[in-house]
Amino acid sequence: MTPREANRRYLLRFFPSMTLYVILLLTANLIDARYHPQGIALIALAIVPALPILAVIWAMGMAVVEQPDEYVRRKLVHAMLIATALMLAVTTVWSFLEDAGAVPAKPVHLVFPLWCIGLLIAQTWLWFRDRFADDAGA
Amino acid sequence: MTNRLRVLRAERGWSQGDLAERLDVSRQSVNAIETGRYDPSLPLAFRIAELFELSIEEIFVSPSREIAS
Repeated sequence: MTPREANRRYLLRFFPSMTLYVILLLTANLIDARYHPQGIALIALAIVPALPILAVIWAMGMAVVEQPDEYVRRKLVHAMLIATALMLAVTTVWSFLEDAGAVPAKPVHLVFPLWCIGLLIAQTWLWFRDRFADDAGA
Repeated sequence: MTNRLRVLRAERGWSQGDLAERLDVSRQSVNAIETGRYDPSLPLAFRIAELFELSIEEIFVSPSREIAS
């Protein structure tokens, strides 16, 4: 498998999952508002929209596992570690602010989007670092 | 790790893209190795050595020898 094919596979997993997430979330909200389910039905309805997000997390893991180019793979893992560090830093500081009563309870469902923003920042930084090294080495 | 990859590539008139294609890696991998920002794995180092028909030591400078010189 080439790096391009690995990226294509990732996108083919990512975009349908995100589309399904939007559809399931809207449908779940609609059902909840109209029928007000209780008990097991409510739990199932709440969990269903999270399943495509789990698929996205799996796709991200597979993007690392299936990446055939060792340098690109290392950069991806590096970016994921930076994203994890950023997420841990933000949630830790938020927790202390929360304990002090300075901010409201943290929205836990935003932790994964926060990690994704960290990943984007890290990948952009690594891309610029490579770009400048390219210019210096050319 | 210091290496002679850029020189060897230039001697053959290959671009980074040409070398990347021959090694079945990305161009950015070749650039990262040439500039010493990335040390290739042993299997990739062997592929590079076999492509240039040289030993690994003739392409990559051992870090301990680099310090000694």
